[in-house]
Amino acid sequence: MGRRPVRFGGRIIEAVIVYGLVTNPETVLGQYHKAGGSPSTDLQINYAEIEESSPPLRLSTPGWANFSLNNMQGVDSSELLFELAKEKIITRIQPFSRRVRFFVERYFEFMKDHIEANLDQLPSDPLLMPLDWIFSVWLPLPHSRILLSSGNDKKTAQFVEFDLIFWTGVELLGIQVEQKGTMVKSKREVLERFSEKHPNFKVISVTRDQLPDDEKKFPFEVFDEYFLNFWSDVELPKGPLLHQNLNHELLS
Amino acid sequence: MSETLSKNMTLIDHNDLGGFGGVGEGMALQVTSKGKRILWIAHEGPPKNFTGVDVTDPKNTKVICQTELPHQNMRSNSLEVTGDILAVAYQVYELGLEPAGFELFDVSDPENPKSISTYSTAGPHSRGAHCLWFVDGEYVHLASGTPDLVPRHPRDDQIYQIIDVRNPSKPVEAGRWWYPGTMEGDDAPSPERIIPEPLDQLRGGDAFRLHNANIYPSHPDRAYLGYIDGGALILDISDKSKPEIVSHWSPHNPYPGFTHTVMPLFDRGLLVVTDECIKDDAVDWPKLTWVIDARNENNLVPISTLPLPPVEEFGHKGGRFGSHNLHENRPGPSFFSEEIIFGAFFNAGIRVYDLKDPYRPECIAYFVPPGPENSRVTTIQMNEIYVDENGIVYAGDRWAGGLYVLEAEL
Repeated sequence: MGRRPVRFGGRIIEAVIVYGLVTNPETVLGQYHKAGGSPSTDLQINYAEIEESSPPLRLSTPGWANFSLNNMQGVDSSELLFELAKEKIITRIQPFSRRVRFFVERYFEFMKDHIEANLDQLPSDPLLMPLDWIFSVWLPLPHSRILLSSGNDKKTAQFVEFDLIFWTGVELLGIQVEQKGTMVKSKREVLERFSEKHPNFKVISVTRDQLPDDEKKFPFEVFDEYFLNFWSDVELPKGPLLHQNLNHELLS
Repeated sequence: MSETLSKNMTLIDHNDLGGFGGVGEGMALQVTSKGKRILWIAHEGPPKNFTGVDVTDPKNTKVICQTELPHQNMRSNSLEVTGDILAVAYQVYELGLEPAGFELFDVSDPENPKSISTYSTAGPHSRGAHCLWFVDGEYVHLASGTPDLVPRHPRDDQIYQIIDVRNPSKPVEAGRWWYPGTMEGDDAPSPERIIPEPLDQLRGGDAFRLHNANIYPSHPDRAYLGYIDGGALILDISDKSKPEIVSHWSPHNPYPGFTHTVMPLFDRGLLVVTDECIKDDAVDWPKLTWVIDARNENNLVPISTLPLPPVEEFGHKGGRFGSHNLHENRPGPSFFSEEIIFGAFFNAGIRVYDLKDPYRPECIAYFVPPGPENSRVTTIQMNEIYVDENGIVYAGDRWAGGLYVLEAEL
């Protein structure tokens, strides 16, 4: 893509991530290749390209969702805007992935409470509401597949799959939300190979005890301080609306 | 069929079970205190009761135990093992015969099973137990006739019974449930028959009776029933003495009946529901495996079926063609997945499906061996399947082929 790729464990790879509701990842990969080289390809509805210099992906990062004027009717508070953004993420989760949904719902609820509990650490500005900071939380990319190799005919691409990925600008985190089950050999081997090659890629496995079905509990203890204090490099929070589509609609 | 058809599956051993290779609908794996792995196998019919196969080395399996039925007018089609207790279902071919019900065995010494107790469901309108489920060491969930009930239709005899075996030497009934309108004395009207058959044929279709009941220790308040022409049912069994219907889904008719297994995938809010093919030569085609959206268990919605190979290729090859038993994600030394589904499909062999996208299930592996010698039909008739925690697949032919041990490259 003409830019410096991100480094994992001292090796250089391109981090192309297909995510969200995707039936054929190869189709999305085709879209990525077609758009190749354009700066606007960093974060799109179904894929992201992460490089060393890529800014972190936050809820406010443009590209991951369309916020149309139609969507925005009646959205007149940070609370409603947050609910809209949350809903847009949740609708990108496969309907039969209940534990991924649990994780995302509880992540947002936790971060909301976490902001309230740490107001004294946040830069103060009389124009800001505490909830405005929620738009700076790391963006979860559900059902993420990191491209390992494109294959010869682009129909045999190999991916390593994670239930969710976060890019903090410092670390790429792969989250596995444990489902009970026997992992099949091919999937296990791909994950093992990937982990061996990229020991600094951080994989967090969330157990059933850490994310119980029947309690609203978020496993904050598995994340480091930098992840939890997501505001540390943010001067002022932005909303998620700096999106091309909305600007087009406003201009037309 | 003279050649093996396969994709991503390899035969690593074959055992004809000493010439008694008719495998019923029961396979269960025991790991003994000495670390031996014993696969217990039920038989389709007499003269054998059950067979124990040492599968510690799955590439070199050995029959270590094979028992006889008390008489030839019965069979033990189903079994389960939990710990060192083996439960074996007894079904008779004529009403009123004994033994009917089930027997518990101590298999701590697998070469010498010892009877612990029998539970009789024999009666003038009973042919005993066709299937049982026993995975928690506490309750046997039984599809059986009873000593007392009188079915309105002779083929509607096997109802859902919960038998408390916490004291294995004295099993006692904890609860029962039957499809409304199927017993004399019911207030409900009799259910409409799907494809009426002669009344003097006890076996076969046209029945509103229980086939499989699946109950998982992780969700002990729910029973998942395949009720043949009655379709799939979810029961609330939080009070075992009073099971109550939560929901009911049936594709019959227009589909030709015989719901067999209802397997929940709890984390995903899905059910996998099989119908059983019961006629040779595709007479009852299509017998499907349904994928049901059960996120709202009160409103079950079918969303897809597992793709079968072409009927023109398999339908008239001989024997049955279509869905039947699944590997049921039972607790124990057992493969567990909510994305990979293994099933036995009679002459279409063993088939493995990727259910990651439940709207578009995909067949990712299969194994169809040639028809075995001395079979009643010319094709393989894969009848039962069990997959262990290492992904080793144990499959049984209905008539003569015995045990096939497979490795899946998934």
